[in-house]
Amino acid sequence: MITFIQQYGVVILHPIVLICWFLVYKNKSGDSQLTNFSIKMMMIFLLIFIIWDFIALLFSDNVSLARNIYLFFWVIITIYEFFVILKALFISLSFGKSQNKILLIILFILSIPVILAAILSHTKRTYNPINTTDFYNMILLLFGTVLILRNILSTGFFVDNIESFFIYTGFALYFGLHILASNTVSINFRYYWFFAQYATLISLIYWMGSVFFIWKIKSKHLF
Amino acid sequence: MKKNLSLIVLVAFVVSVINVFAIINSSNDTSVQAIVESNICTAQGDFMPAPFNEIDETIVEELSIEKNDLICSAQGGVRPPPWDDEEDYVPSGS
Repeated sequence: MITFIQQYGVVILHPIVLICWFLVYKNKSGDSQLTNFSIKMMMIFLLIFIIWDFIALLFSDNVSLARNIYLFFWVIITIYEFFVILKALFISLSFGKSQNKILLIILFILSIPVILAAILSHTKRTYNPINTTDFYNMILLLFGTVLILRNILSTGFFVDNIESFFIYTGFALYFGLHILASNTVSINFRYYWFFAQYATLISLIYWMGSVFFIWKIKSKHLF
Repeated sequence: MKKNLSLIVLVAFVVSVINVFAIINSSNDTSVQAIVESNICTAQGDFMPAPFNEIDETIVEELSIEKNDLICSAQGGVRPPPWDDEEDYVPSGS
């Protein structure tokens, strides 16, 4: 049972959480710009993971290809996370569309180490570059998420942003736990991967449970 | 607004520069521990990618247990030094 949860728990939970958030998306009305953006981005985030899992399962027999698929999707999901957090930060700080060029420049700056790490991991046949950059990226993403949460809580329209609040607290949990899983000072490095998997599992359970609280708080009939 | 924007650009730039140096250093680390650790992926994802190199499982086991036994993980601000130096050993009664 434990082996099953370790191997397929997160794979099964991703589509379930996606369905739950699709129900939230369908029933939303009069929400803020940040919430509209966050729900859409959250669903795409889950969808990328579902596609990743599907392709990983499909090519699991070919070890070399599976490794390259991992590196490719790792780059995609990391850059996507940077985009979501940066854009949400810009919206929460009320930056206009004129700042989109700056957003792209920041995204480009942040993407350089991610792509470099994947190339070095592939050419030098070591996971150290992506392990290292994942650690730094998670710190940066957590920092950005905390700033978004601060902006959500400081505005007077908390109920309009309730979905965003649950999405970004979930992200804070996800990034925070992944910092613990990917850091280089913890002990027993052999089990870091499983720690990271449980970190994802906990975040997915949180996102799934938060749908119930959104429903209760907003008193809407989701089901 | 410009102040906030400049701060975000600055943080992104500084972290990226640190990141690039850390990546290059980590990929050039040739210590036994670095080689063993380089085989284990700790980045995000649902399926663990296969290790790059064939490393004797006993070395991994030994390093893992060694790290586990010698490093203090209890609460405290400054981590005490590990118990790996024989010169630290003081026989009882002396």
